[in-house]
Amino acid sequence: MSQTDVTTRWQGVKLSLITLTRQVKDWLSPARRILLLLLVIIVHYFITGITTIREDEQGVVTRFGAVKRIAPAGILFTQPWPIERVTKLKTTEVRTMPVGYKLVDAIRNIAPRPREVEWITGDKNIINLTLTIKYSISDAVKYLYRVGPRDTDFLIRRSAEACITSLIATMPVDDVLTSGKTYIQEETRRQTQSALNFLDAGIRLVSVDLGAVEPPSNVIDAFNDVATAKSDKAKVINQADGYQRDLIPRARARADRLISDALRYRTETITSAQMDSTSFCQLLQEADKARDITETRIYLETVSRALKRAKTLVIDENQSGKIHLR
Amino acid sequence: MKQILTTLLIIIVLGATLLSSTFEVPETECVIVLRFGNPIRILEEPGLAWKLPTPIETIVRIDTRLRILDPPEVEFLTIDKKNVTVDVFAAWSVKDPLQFLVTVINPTSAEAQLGDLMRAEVGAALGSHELSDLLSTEAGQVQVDQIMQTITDRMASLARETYGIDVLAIRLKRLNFPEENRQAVFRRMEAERERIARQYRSEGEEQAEIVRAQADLEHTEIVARAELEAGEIRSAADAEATTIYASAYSRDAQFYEFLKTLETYEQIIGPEATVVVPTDSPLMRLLREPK
Repeated sequence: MSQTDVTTRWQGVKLSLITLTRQVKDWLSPARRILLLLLVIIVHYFITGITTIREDEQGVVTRFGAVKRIAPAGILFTQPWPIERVTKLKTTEVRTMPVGYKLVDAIRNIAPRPREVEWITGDKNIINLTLTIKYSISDAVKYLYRVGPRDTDFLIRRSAEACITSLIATMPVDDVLTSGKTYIQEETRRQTQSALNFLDAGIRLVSVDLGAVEPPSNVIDAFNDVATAKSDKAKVINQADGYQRDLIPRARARADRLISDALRYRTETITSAQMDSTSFCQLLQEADKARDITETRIYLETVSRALKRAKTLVIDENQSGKIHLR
Repeated sequence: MKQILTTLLIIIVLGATLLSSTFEVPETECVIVLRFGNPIRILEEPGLAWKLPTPIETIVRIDTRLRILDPPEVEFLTIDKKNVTVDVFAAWSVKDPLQFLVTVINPTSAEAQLGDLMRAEVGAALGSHELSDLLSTEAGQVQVDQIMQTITDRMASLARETYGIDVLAIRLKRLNFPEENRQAVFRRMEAERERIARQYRSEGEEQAEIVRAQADLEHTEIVARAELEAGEIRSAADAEATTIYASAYSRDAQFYEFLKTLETYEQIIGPEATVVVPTDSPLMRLLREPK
């Protein structure tokens, strides 16, 4: 392209510009100018002065950077840019904040690094503990302007970590693993909330949920063995209890037996004594009628019964021969 | 044509002047107005503000939001020579914008200086406490919150005077043992668990033995009591029987003796016995000399 070409081109452009300006000037009568200005203002107002705030949102209206008001859900009319601006914020949304692990890792199933998940108990044991915090915005203005939105998450997590550190530093490892979980949850929620309130963060903690609480993996066997030992103890005591429960009724049965036997003996003894004495008395009564005869009869009856059973030798002392009876 | 250009130029110059002499002070910042580089005004109230156009007066914006300073963890030695790694964080904000501007210029260098200061303070504080002031199961022994409060107070006054920074809180985020001590800690934990497990098992044996011994004792007691009672019943029965016999037999002792003797004969002369009866005995009298 030569110098003259450029010059002629530029003159062409200049010419068409001049004709365009002239045409616009002809078309723009004073009335039309005012109308056009009005139209521009109206369009500008519609674009920057009307906002819709959704059901789960709040709108914070600032005029030249200063907070003027907080608008609820609905259609919001403000002064157009650059006078007023609206920042929309989801205030009902509950957000999740992991402590002791990262959400990204949890989704990808990667175990948290030791330094993230480890805490030290009061009796100087290392323990793995994770926490999930759910929070929402309680004060939109504070949330937006007091702490930078990037630092807020950071602040919540760090505050919760600090609470757990000082809480667990006073607890024995057994409490942390068993009975202390609810206490840790409650105290962490309470203390973290008051720390956040102290810093005016505009955050309300909805819940603090303790996740897995367990000893580090290379000592977990030793911890499990304590649990086994605990149940072993209970088992052994139970067995002894079983022994006792078996033995004592047997002892009572034996005792019952002894007493019953003695009572039976008493009945028998006394009954036979009574029977014997009764029969003696009857015999005596009878015998008294003819004493000699009765005695002889009894004697002979007895002797005959006795000698009938035994071998009896009858010896004549004066003669040498023996006389065999039977 | 020339007229239009002149009008345009005037409009542009006026607009630029207007724009450079108004500015917003947002909620998150405060603004220092400098005239030829010298600070003359500090604006902390949010809203629209005015100044002389740009070459004469310029502005510097300073973020006054709360910031979190979170330096990496550092290893410290307690007064009783225990190594611990400590991870603290600080919440801070700009308190005196002018002093902040003069001394530290921007938040990054502010955090670097605060971090150095904090490390020194934490080291000094921990160096004068024992490990049991940080970790203990005894009530009232752990002073973490008090220690951190002291550090916060010291830091706060230092940072306010030196940098115009307000330190709101310094808190202990993590406490841990250094990497090289971990194996020793794990060994100690294991030994402790073994001890506890053994204790549980022998406690179990102990209590079981107590229960069993108690059961044996109770068993013996129950049986012995019963034996005693049975013995008493038996001897009482014997005594009663004796009384019965005595009262009956005493009516005629001779007759009793006669009967009892006969009974005895009958008992001692069994099927195996051989009885030698002389013919001159009363029983055999009739055999030899019949009437």
